[in-house]
Amino acid sequence: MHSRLTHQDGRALVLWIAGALALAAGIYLASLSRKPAPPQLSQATTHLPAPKALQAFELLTHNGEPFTLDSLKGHWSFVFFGYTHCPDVCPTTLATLSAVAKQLVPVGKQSPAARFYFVSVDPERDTRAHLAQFVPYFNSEFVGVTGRPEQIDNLTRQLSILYIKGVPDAQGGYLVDHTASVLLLNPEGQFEAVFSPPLSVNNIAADFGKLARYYDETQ
Amino acid sequence: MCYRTLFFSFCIFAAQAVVAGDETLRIADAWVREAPPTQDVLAAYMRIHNDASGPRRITAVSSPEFRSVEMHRTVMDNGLARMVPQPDIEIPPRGEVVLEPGGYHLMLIGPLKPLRAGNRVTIRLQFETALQQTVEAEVRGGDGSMADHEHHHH
Repeated sequence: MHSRLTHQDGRALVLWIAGALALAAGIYLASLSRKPAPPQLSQATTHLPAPKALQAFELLTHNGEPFTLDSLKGHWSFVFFGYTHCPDVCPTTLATLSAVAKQLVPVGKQSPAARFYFVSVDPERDTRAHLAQFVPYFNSEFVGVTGRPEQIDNLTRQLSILYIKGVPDAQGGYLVDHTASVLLLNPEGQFEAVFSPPLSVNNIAADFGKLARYYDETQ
Repeated sequence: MCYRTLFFSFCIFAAQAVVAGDETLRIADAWVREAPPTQDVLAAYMRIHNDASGPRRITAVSSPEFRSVEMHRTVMDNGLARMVPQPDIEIPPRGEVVLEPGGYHLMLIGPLKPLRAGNRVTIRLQFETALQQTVEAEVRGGDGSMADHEHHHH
């Protein structure tokens, strides 16, 4: 029939329009409360599916101050595990992290600057005094951490860091194999992400920016 | 066939080979990473080109500025960095080996005097064919050299 619309047609039309409007309103409201998309990061960066809270630990900085869970709160932290008698990986990584620190300064003007920690997996040789000579050489803001071996283990276990002390040579020297990744802890002191080697200054700085922004947006 | 000519030709050829042996080995960009004054071990890096038709093997390294020198290779084993001592380093024919951060490197042990950026370190490479090559490596500060390293590879 080509004649005018019937009463039923009119009602059906109103229902269709109402339905479409309801759907549009629903999508709009949903978009307001939807979480931001997780950031796209470089291949060497792993973002933990959920930040991991850490248990208490008790260590010491090269300045003689306690290094505990509280020390990690209020600012982002980059943590690298190594030892001072390491000529290649550790100095190279600290030089890389120093370059990262310099790139971050302009970005983090509003919030407290990120801190960089070098935790020794060789507390026997890496005394507080020895770390005080080694760490600031790479960047005066960097903090060396040492302490009792069982407390070092307490922290490495929680962060899945491995280290293996090598066989001493005739002079008593030894090498230590260790995880060479750099860990990122958020301002609540939770384990947030991992930067795996090969470490790239630009990728780490860029990924840190994305992770920090995502963290701020999801608080 | 005149054997004397052949003999002389051979002598000249052999002499050429000995002289050419030194020229087919080129070492470039030798540097030592500067370290805090308390450091007992420093790392040295360089590029070694072997243009000869046979492999070249470094069997020992020494330096008048250090107590001893060892050859090592940093190996990444699922995120675990291991420094593996090397009994020698072989450079393939018409190829090169690059000693660089995170890879092959020389461990300079026991500095006999403090070293600062800009200083020079003499490194003697001993090859298995009794060939010896001396290299002058420049001491460079940490940050500057990392920037250069990134430029080479990206």
